[in-house]
Amino acid sequence: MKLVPGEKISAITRVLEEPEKAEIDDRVLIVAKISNGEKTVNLVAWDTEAAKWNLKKNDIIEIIDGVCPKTHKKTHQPPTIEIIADTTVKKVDMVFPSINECMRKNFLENILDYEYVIAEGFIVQVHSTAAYFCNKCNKFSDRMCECGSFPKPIFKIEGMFSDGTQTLEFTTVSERIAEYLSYHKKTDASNIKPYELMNKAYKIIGYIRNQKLYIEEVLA
Amino acid sequence: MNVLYMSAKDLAESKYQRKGKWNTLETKYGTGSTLSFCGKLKSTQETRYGPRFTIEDPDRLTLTVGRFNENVKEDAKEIMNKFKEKKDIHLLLYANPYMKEKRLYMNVNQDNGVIEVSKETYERFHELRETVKEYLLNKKTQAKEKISEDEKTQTKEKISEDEKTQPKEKISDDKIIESIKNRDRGDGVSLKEIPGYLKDPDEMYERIVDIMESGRLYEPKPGLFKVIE
Ligand SMILES: [Zn+2]
Repeated sequence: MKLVPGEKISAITRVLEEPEKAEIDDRVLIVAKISNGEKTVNLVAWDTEAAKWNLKKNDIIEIIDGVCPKTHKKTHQPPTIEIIADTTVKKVDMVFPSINECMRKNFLENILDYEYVIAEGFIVQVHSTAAYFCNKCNKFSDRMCECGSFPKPIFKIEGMFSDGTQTLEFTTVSERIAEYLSYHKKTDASNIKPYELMNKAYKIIGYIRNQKLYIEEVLA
Repeated sequence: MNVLYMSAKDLAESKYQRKGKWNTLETKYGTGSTLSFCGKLKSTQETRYGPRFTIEDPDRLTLTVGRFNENVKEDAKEIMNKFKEKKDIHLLLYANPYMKEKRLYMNVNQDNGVIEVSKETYERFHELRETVKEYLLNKKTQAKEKISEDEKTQTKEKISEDEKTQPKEKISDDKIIESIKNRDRGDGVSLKEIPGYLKDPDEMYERIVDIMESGRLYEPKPGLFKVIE
């Protein structure tokens, strides 16, 4: 299962988790991670396609003519198959790797760009625990932006992660995941000491874009 | 930066190598510039280069902490004090290998290069290390069988080209130190910014290491240099 942004993709996969529904502006989105036993990707449906969604955790499904979003070529989005009007999704009954088998640990050096990985390792350096986004200038800034304003800190942990086979820059993808990783609340973002993040091993789910690891989930 | 998970025992089977600008260690399963060790603190000693820690994982290993970095030296001193009261301390360390007069030294010089961890983390570190080692060793055996004659000749050509280096003008230590001082905006200065580096990276790195040895520079983060004032 090799995803190329902008191209169609067909695959037989297992649904690894209960789908999550979200409302973004006026749109409805459903997402669930799926795997063909080797690679994990997000299955995504919007609006009318989301309304038709009838998949649940553990289902084995055949996807015909799903689409890998074209916009993912240049953004740092995770590996994704989108269900569009032309896509067929049907449940199938067959012998297939279990959820546990689909979620096996791998080594970072085996993972290509735009692929998910479950990896285990240490945070070997912490670069920052808070990011600042200036709404006025519409870009990331220092604690004080060039325009003179002080944007509110965003809880975001960045540094280097190593699993012993490769050492990669990493970032957490959401404030929730930064909280999980650090056992700290968002309000502590700027006060976390690097050693508090470096003194234990983590098993994580993340994806790689442009040599950077985006941590989405902490498993243990 | 490439971190290699190590045990003290692995050191006996490893070879020190200067690779480009990095001091690296070549082990049976891979090459790394930053070596990560985890062990139980056995003894501490104050030396003129900074605290010296002996750990057991269960083999013994001695490391010098903070020779070129005051931050990590402070952390090490705190651990030394704590060790007077509490004997059950496990440490995770990020060290760089350094060879002098045929002796291999392990120096810890990066920020947070020594961290106290729980016994559980110590155990998990070594489980992880074993798994990674086994995977890397397997991969290496498989790769060895695959090396083609083609690649072998390519390597030879490259070595002979490397040998043809030419003599160059020498910049004084003072000038190097001054340029680092001038360019430093707080985090330190990378090698690339030091005049003369692009001309000959290896030579300049050797010079920087020598200046660090003399106690006038330190490396707060791998690849970044600051003047000791
Ligand atoms: Zn601004």
